Order: sequence, then C-alpha cells, then structure tokens
Amino acid sequence: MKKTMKWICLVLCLLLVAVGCSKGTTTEQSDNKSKEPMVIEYFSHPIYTPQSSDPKRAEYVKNAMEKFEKENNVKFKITLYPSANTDESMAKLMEQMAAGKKPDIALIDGYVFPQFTKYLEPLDDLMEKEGIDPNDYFDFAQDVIKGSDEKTYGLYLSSDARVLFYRKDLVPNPPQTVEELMEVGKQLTKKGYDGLLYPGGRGEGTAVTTLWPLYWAQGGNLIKEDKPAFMEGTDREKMLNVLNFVQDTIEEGITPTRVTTYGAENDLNAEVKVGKVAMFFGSSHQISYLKGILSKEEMEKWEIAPIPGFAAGEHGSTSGGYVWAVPTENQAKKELAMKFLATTFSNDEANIEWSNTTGLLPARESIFNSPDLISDRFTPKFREYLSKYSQVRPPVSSYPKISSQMQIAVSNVISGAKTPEEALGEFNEAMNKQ
Amino acid sequence: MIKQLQTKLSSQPLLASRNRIRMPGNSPAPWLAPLGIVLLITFFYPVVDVIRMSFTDASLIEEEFHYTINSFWNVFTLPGFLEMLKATGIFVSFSVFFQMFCGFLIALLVDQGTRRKLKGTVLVRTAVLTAWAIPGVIIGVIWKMLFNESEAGILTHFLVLLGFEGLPFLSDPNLSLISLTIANIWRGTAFSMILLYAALQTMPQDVLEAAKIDGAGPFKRLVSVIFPMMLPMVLINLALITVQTFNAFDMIMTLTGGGPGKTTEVIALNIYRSIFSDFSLGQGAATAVLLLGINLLITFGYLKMLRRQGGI
Repeated sequence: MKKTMKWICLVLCLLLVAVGCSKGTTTEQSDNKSKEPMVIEYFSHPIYTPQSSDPKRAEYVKNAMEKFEKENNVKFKITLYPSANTDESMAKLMEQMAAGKKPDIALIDGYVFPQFTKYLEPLDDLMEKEGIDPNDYFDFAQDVIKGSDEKTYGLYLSSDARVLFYRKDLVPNPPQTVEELMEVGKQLTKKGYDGLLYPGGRGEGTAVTTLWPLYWAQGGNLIKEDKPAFMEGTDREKMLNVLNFVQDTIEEGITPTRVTTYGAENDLNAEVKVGKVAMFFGSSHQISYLKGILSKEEMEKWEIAPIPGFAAGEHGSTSGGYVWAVPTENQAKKELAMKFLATTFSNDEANIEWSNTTGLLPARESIFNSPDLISDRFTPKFREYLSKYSQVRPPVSSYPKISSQMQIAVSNVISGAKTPEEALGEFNEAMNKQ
Repeated sequence: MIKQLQTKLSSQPLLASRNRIRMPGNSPAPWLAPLGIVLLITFFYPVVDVIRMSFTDASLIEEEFHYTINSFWNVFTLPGFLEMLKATGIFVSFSVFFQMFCGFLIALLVDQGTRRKLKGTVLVRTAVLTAWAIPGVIIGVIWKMLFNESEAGILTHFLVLLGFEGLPFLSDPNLSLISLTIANIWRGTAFSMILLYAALQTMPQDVLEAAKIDGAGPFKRLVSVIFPMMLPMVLINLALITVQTFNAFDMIMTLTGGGPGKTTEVIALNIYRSIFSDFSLGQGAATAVLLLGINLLITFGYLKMLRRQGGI
C-alpha cells in the first residue's frame, strides 16, 4: 500500500513540475522599474518582419526594430502567422483574442478587421499625438478602420488595386468593355498569344481580382441582410454575367483552362516572364515582383487600365491591404506600440519611406501628393483607380465561405464541369446549408 | 509475514480466489499511469472533444453554440458530398494498390540485388527512400512545377519537344485526379518498399530452397511461397498506407488545393476548408468523425484478416 502511494505521489509530483515549468506568456511583463526591457509581442505576416523574403522589407523592418529597441528599452517578440493561409491565421488570432490572449501589436487582414474591433480600443487620441489624421485615409480604408461609433481602431498599412495589365505593343488602346476585351483577345489568340489570363482557381485572388471587380462594375452588392445578395434577383443576373464572361473566354480560346490552377495574382508572374500573355487581370502589388523578373525593356511594354465592365464607363476594383491593431490593454505598451507603428509605417515620413521601399500603394490620399513619394508611370493611375473604383470586401463573418464557394464555382465553369447556372445553383445550395 | 498470510489464504481455496491480495509490487498500474495520463491528455481528450463538437453548430469565430445533429445532416446533404467520396475512393484505392505493387516490385529487385551482392542496390534503396523523406508540402510544390501546363512546365516542355501537345494535368477534372494519384504513388511507394523489403530479408531461405528443389519455378515460388509468407506484413502495410492515404492533406493542398472545382477535394481537405474557410467547427468536426469512422473500420477489418492469417 505504502509503495503504491509512493508511486501515485511521484506521478503527481512529475505532473506538477511539468505544469510549473511550462512557459507563461511574457507579454504581461509589467512596465517594471528595473532595467529589463519591456517585451512587446509583434504578431505579423512574415513579409512584414525581419524574416521577409523581400530583402528590402526585411532590412527596413529590422533596422526600425533595432533602433526602436535601443531608444526605448523594449524588446520585440515576433510571432509569425501560424499558417500561410490568411483565413486560418485570422481565425486563430480571433480565437486567441476571444480567450484574452492579445498580442501587443497585431497585423490583421483588412477584410476581417471590423470583426476584431470588439476586442480593441479606439486609437484616435494616440493617432493625434503621432500626427496621423484618420480622415486622410481613402474612403474604403476609413470604412474598414472606423467602427460604428466613428472612432478609429486601426492603422491601414498599405493598399492595392486590381487592374487590367496589357502589352502596349500588342494592344494600342485598352478595351473599355468586356465585349471589346473579347474582340481584342480573339485577335491576339490568332497571333499565337494568350489573349487574357486571370486567377481562376481555388484562391482568394480569383475572388478579388476576377470576380468582384466585374461584379461591382455592374453595381452589384455582395451582401444583403447578412446573406450573399446574388443568390436571387437582379444581383444574381449580374453574377451570372460574370460567370458567362469567364465561360466565354474559355470557349473562345482567349483564356487557357490552366488558369484554374492559379489562385493568386502572383501565380501569373511566370507566364508574364515567358512573354506569351497579352493581357491579364492583376494587382498593383505584382508590379514590384514583375520589375524584379522582367528586364527594363520588357517592363516598358506593359501598361495598366481599369478592368473593363459590361458597359462603357463602368469599372470596378478590389482593394485589400492589412491593418495594424494595438490590442494590448497595458497603457505603457499601447503608447510604445503606437509610437513604433507611427514612426515605422504610418506617420507622413514613415509612410512615404515605407511606400518607397516596398512599392506598395499608400492608403492615405495626402501621401500620394507628397513630392518625396517615388512614383512611376503607374502611380497616378493607381491613385485615380483607388479613389474612383475601389471597394473592399464586406466585413461579415460569412465572407470567407462566400469567397471559397465562388472560387469553386468559377473553377468548375473554367474546367467545364458545370455551366454558370449550375455553378451558381450549387453555390446557393452550399450557402443555404449554413 | 506476507508469505505466511498468502499460505494461510491459499489453504482456503474459495476465499483465496475471492479475496486474493494483489501485492503492490505486482501491479502494473503505477508503471502504466504516466503513459495513461499522457494518452488521456494528448489522445483521448482531443478525440472525445472533436466528437462532442461534431454534435454542435460551433463556429471558429463565435463563442455561442448549440448542440444539434445538423452538422452531420449538413455533411451528408452537402452539394458535392458524393463527389468528395468518389474522389477520395478513387484516390485511395489506386494510390494504395500502386504503392503496394510498385513497392513490392522494387523490394523484390533490391532483395535479389542484395542477395546476389550486386552493386548499386543501396543507392537504389536510398533514392527511393528520398521521396518518402521529403515533406508533403514540398512534394506538392515539386509536382506542381512538373505539371505546370504553360511552356514553363517541365513535363509540358518535354511533351512539346517530342511533338505532342501539352496536357491539362491539373485543369481537367479527370486528369487532375490522375495527376494527384501519380504524385501520391511516387510519394508513398518507398514506405511500402521498406516494409516489404524487411519481410523479404527475414524470409527463411530453407523454405525457398525446398520449393526450388521440388521444381517450383520463380513465378510459382513468388505466388505460392514468398507472397503467402509475406502476407502478415502485406496486410499491416495495407492497413497503414490506407489510413495514411485517407488522411493525406499536405501534398494535395499545395498541388491542387482541391480544384479544379472540387474534383480533388478529398475528405481531409474538406475538413480543413470547413473549419478554416467556412469557420464551421461543428461541420468540420462531423466530417472528421466520419473520416475517423472510416479509418477505424478499415483498421479493424485488416486486423480481423490478420488474425485469420494467424499473424497476431
């Protein structure tokens, strides 16, 4: 009996030691009076950390962090997104925040940011202290970062826009409507080119670059009374127009079926390098990658225009981008976090430097006017498209499912597995299963 | 004193059988307790929690949930459910068959090479094992480059060089499943090879010699002597690779993402999409329970066959 008790006690002790040795979070380290640096947890996508695959971004963030650590006696603890899938990472962050485990700084994808505001506090006072005017952000960005109380909960980092890229040497005048696009595409296909490429596979690029701009150009709404608006009525007809257009590009041979393997805009870059593509739907953020893989002469051949709509003068574009949040409830950390974000990414000087370094579009209108912003021939056009055509994805919890199901629909239409009506019918069925 | 007590009790047979004192030193409980606790925390608790969640409408982004069987109902009535089962069935059955077949063939060749002390057998074995050592995600990326349908694609380039047209490896609904299965066969053959090779190496040679003396040719020896003796290992391998293939996710995610449409969306991928795209924890858990049920059925089926063979 004694021996048995001894064994039980031994096992219990081992368990207690294991629990006691487990690491607790260090983000709750208090602003102590000792010389120990304050730890600030920085939760971010890898491309906005010193581990970025883009050496310019990596160096920029690394230098900024080192300088800030030295001047303010802090230590950054970098936590990367747990998955390459942003939806998954955002879902995990949401779980974490709901459980009260908030990082001090968090990079949140713009389209889900409004769902996080319930865990955040307004930043207006701190923004004013750092000289950042929330009303300077583009309208679409303000829709994201401001809550229903008109207070500002985040700092929009940078934006992007979806456009039609076309070879000026092959397409003297960019098509303004989808009808013109089809005509130009057919002529180019006869000459041996791929008339038009676009993301058409299982990936968010398909939704934001191929689907929504064409749909929004017709005045369609994505959400109505918390449900997809295009499940019925006139909006359904508008979405069918989009799917029929996609089907037509395949049937006319303008677009090869292999686009169903492209889920992101950057998947098209290799095709651009090969030199056989005449036009493609892409994003502003591709330009820095294209400049890296194309020669100067090859890059000169490319120009941008708004994605054609179904009628003259009707265009649409999707803007994305990330938002910095400061979830910490520790006031000292909040002020330091805000100071870091302002001086690295968000105040006038930092935003210009960040935009110049990365080639990303600023989300603030006044930055575009600055003489210090390095702009190329694309910049003024992107500014115009951001203010005239850009919309953001609706900040509803059902958006990821809507996007995922529509990616399946487009992919089915391109591969010929379903007609546009069948694909949209399947979408309705899937959404009704919620 | 303890021994005297035992002797006294054993002299009273009825009492002894009912009241036999179990000595602490003989009890396995203290030895198994640490393992039991670890298994409880890391295995049983998560499995029970997933089963519990499958009976809810829990969402990853909402705190409130209710208990319901709607999640199971939704899984079976989802558009594309039969398509998913068909894709999974085709993927698993062809992958398993060809992994076993190719693994057995390579194992036989390597075994014969080893016995005849031929040079290069270790190199062949290592080369085949390399495929198994590569992470699934990387295998998906590698095969995606091979199957790239543009002029930048490796296989397309060689097909065009030989005068053929490129094939829609990943964009055609039927061909994409075949391409995925080929990639999986390439990945999993090594595992079968190594198990079957071990079985061949440990085979008693005197039985084979006796068969040879009796006039059995190579094919007859293979079919009537070698294969029956290897059967327990074949069945174990079959069970393992079937379950592994049912659970395959990483390679499929990078290679096709479940597309085009849902033609390569196997059960494991569907679970991932339900939870991380649709945020539907309840439905994802219900599909996971379905997959668990399939895997358990297969495992018990194989174990039963194995027992009949006298393997365990």
